[in-house]
Amino acid sequence: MTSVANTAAAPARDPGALVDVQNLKIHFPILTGVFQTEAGRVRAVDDISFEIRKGETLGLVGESGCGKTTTGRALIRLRNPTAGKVFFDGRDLMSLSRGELRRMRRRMQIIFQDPYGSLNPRMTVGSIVSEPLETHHLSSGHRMDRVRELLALVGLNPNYTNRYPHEFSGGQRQRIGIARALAVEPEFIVCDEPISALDVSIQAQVLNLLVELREQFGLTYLFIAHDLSVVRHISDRVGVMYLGKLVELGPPTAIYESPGHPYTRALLSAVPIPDPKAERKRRRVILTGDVPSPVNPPSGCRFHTRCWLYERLGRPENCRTEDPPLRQIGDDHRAACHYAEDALKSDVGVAHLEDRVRRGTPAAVAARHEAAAQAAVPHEQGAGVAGTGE
Amino acid sequence: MWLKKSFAILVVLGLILAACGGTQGSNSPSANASGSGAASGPQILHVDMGGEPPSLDPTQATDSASITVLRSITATLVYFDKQLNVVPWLAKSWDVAPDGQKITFHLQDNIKYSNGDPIVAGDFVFSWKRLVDPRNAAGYGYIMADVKGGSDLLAADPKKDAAKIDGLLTKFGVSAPDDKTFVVELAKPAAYFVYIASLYGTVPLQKKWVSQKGFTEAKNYVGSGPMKLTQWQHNAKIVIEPNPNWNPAISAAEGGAPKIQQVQYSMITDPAASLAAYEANELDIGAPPSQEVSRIQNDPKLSKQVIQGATLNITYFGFDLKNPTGLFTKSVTARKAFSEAINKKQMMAVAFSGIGVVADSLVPPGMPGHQDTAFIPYDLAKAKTDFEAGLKEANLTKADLKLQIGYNTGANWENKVAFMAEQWRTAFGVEVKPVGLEWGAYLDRLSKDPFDIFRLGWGADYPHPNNFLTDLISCKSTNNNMGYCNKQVDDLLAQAATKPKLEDQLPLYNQAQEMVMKDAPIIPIRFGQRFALVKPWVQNLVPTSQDSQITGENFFAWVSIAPH
Amino acid sequence: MLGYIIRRVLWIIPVLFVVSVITFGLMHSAPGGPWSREKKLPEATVAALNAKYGLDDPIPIQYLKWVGGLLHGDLGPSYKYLDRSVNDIVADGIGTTVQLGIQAFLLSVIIGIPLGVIAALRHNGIPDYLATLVSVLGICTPSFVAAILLLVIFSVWLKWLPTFGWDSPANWILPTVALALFPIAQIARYTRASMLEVTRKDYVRTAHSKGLREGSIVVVHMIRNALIPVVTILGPILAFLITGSFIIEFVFSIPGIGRYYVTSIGQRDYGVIMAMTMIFAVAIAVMNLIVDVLYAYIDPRIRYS
Repeated sequence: MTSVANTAAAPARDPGALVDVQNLKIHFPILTGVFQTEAGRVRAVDDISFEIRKGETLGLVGESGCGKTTTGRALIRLRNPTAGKVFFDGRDLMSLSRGELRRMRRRMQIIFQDPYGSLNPRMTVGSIVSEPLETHHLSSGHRMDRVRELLALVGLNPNYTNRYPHEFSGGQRQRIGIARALAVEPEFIVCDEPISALDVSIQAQVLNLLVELREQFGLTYLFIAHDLSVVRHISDRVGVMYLGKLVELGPPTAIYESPGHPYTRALLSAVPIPDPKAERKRRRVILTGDVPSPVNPPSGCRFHTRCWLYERLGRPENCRTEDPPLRQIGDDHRAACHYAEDALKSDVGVAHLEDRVRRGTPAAVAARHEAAAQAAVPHEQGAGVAGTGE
Repeated sequence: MWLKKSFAILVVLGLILAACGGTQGSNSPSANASGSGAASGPQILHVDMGGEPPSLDPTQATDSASITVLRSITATLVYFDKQLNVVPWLAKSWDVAPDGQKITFHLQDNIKYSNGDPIVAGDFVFSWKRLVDPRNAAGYGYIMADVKGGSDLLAADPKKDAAKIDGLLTKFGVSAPDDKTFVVELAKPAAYFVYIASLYGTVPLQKKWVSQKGFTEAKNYVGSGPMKLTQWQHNAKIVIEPNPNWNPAISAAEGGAPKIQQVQYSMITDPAASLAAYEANELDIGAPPSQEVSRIQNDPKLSKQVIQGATLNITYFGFDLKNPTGLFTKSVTARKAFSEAINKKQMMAVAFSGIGVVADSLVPPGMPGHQDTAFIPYDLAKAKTDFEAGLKEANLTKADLKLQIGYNTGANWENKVAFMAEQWRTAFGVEVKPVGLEWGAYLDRLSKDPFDIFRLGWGADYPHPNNFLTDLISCKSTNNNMGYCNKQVDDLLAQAATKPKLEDQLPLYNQAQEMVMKDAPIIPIRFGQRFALVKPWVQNLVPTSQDSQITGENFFAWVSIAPH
Repeated sequence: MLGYIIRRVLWIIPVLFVVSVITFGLMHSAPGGPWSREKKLPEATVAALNAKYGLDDPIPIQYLKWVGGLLHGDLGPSYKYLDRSVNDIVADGIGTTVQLGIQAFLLSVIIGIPLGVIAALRHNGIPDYLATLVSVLGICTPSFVAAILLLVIFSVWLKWLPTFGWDSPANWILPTVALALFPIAQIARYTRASMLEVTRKDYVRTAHSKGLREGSIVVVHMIRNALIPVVTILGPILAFLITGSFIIEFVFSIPGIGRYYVTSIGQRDYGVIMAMTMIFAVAIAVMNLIVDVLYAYIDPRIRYS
């Protein structure tokens, strides 16, 4: 990737950041005709910047097609950006040579959504897990012992090393995927919707496992989900994406209780609340229309075509003409809306429940089990949000 | 990675090229051809026989690929020269009895098979009985029909009449009073019969040879001809070499002992590939497919190698005269009209690449009995009036006509049939629908329920008008698919057969032919013409109109190859 | 697995039975017969020939006789090549045909698979377009056109290679290449499509994220998986190639059995028609069985019992 605009960019802005994303753009050309000329570009990710701090879990949510998966892959350079930079531990990933990149891969891993597709069907579990050990010359002496140890760590029978992926259930396969990711002892793992393809009954178990491993190894996660509720309970901060843009970023309390972006509020109003009283009291907005095409996104604020606040404010002109920057609107809370303050004042989408569950409290882990199990259920019913189901 | 893969491909390509390059030095055909440029090069003739011969058993063979080889490796009692006159061959002379019903052949002295055994008159008796024996079901057994007792044998059922057959064979009219005399008694006068003694089915056969299993394989083959079979690689090639036991005195007129050292017959099935082989100097004689004719005629080098000449065959379209309600059955005038409407000259140029001779009669040029007369000439105006008259004769209207013209598919007849249909459409405003059938189905249809008009061909077995008139158009001929029958014609043909001398026969055959042409049961279209390519170094090649497959095949033994 | 193979082999028997009955019936219901000639044979001669070869029996009896012969390893007489039995004809030609088929098969695998792999790895790049061009040409060019073209270029113009025959390795090159063109294209296309599909698989992304070397990702994770579906078409391709090609054997005058597919039908050479059909049916059945067994071997997800 040579077309990085600001090659002389300074290293990470935040000294505490493990991953620093600066002006990331990923566009896919649309080739048509006999000569495969470029007819347009899918702006999957269009100029986003954020950082992931060491040891934190950053949740990333958005409807399908919003660019969250593409962002996740770019972060560990499984996909080359069109422009922008990604720093990992202060090093520009785009500037690494092939060999350096391969060595860097030891420190960053990914867990895919499809637990089956991510495992080579022709390899045994043992070789899947031990392959990275060989590549990175880890535990050369007792490689198989290490494999068994990893299997045990993720809750699998360590004697299953000679089995093939198809002999396992979905949840077990995802555990294999986790063991594989852990094999190289990474610092950072991109969890790309790791539980959404699993049976509901399994989702909580896998989520718990991820949380336990995080505690045990001090891992940093980028946790991608299309479901707000899953993310809420395991994230230290949550980012919301819409049509290739990061529209809001902040701690869960801010995002879930006082969101500063009308889109976040619209998403929240689609999440059902298991309390009928609160549900009745809540003000909800329904997103209308389809997500606009990322090939030809709306001018100005990309959300204005579906924005309830825009309508309520009498369609202010700058929403149509000016792309709102991601700006500070509270303590560690950023949003990309010209009228974030108006959004904050509104009570749309927010349920005023007592949020008993907080990360870091003693009851957290136990509560998360429960929350995750519930969280996974309702997104099917989130009919108000177009295209939420994947 | 992809570098590795492309390297692999390069290696493969390299190997292929290396293999090509390697052959250039050693056994490539061009090296072969140019390497033979010594003062007297190897006397090897390379020809293509077009495919595996179905049988080299002279009794069983019926096709041109087999004949082309049999002509060199076996010998008959009589042969023909390049003018197609009957000449002595294994028989030095023959007497025809005054009643025309008995022929006595006197064999040459010192004649031997390729295995050194003498050829004796009894071998002809054995061979002829083998040919007529219904248990052998020989395809050309019917040429024995004129021999006394022959038709009874041919009609005998090999199963039901099994007990009778041996008895009938002893009564069969062939005998050998001594080793040098072979006597044939005929059932009726048949002056043309001496020609039949030139057919390869009548060659002498040793009983001990043909009773061997696999006797037609090269290692077992016992031939009587000037050449002998030395190699038969099935589906690949046949090689013949001079028979050291051949008596050169017999072929003194042709040049005595065989001159060629080897004839290699390839079996190239694709005509286009055969031409390619000729152009690559792998063949000395080529037979180009008709679509290549104009290219060859315009090629400065190839055009000089063309040999053309008549071949004794005819392409014709027959009328169905068996259908009692058909236009053509009911009206001779209508048949004539359809014949008159065809511009054969134009058809020859347009549809036959100009190769061939317009046919206006049955007996082809180059054969005794050919009449150079346009019996029904092209005449569009007359065709129109004849057509109207024909409709009246048949008591039919134009609307009643649902005519079909049949042809066999896969042999380039489509354009020719279309040409004719177009001419009829222009002349009469009548649609004649072309119907193509696969060869086997086509022949089956012709014998059961012919099309109103259908394509067929006829080639000479022996160069005598009898073969084109009696065998094709007489009432009883099995090949008379038209169902044409004129008793007067049959009488004339029978009468001709009683005349011992050809000059006495010809007026009768001519009269018969004129009568047939007046009845117009067929539209003669084209007499065959050879269009062959011969390398300039092939010398003493004797093309005859009797060549069945390869130009000059009847006299290959005396071809020589000039240094080149 | 063994039980499975035995069952599959036993299944071939009823398949062959059905194929042979249908072929026998169709063949005899086609108009005309082996004795049809432009110069017609007299009826008595045709009757004698039918009696000699048992063609006067009712069709079911003829079929039973044929089956009886087959069980004794006797394929009967040829009605066209009167000096020879079908056994002779098949024995003479099958070696050549199988040799040509295997050569063409190896060539098409050696070229087709790398071509498909390269095309996929350089998707929408120049190697991809070249490989696609080769594939399209290979698929669109009828084999007789390709064969004649090769003949004219390499034999007539360049005079590098002989035009006909099978005597020396020089004779083998053109027919092998001509016969391999179509399967090369087929295999390349299939490999390319399969590789492109594999490229998008998460396990390939996983492999990248493991930090594996590019080469081992392509070989271990991509090609090995991409070839699983390719193997399915290799079986029928091999079956087609080793049972012979009429066109190629016809154009290059190769003494194999492939040419009989067409000629025997035109000649109503019943024994040869049956033999060719049986050979083809057996080849297809056996190849499919081999592919299925191979499949279980290379794809751990498939198990037979």
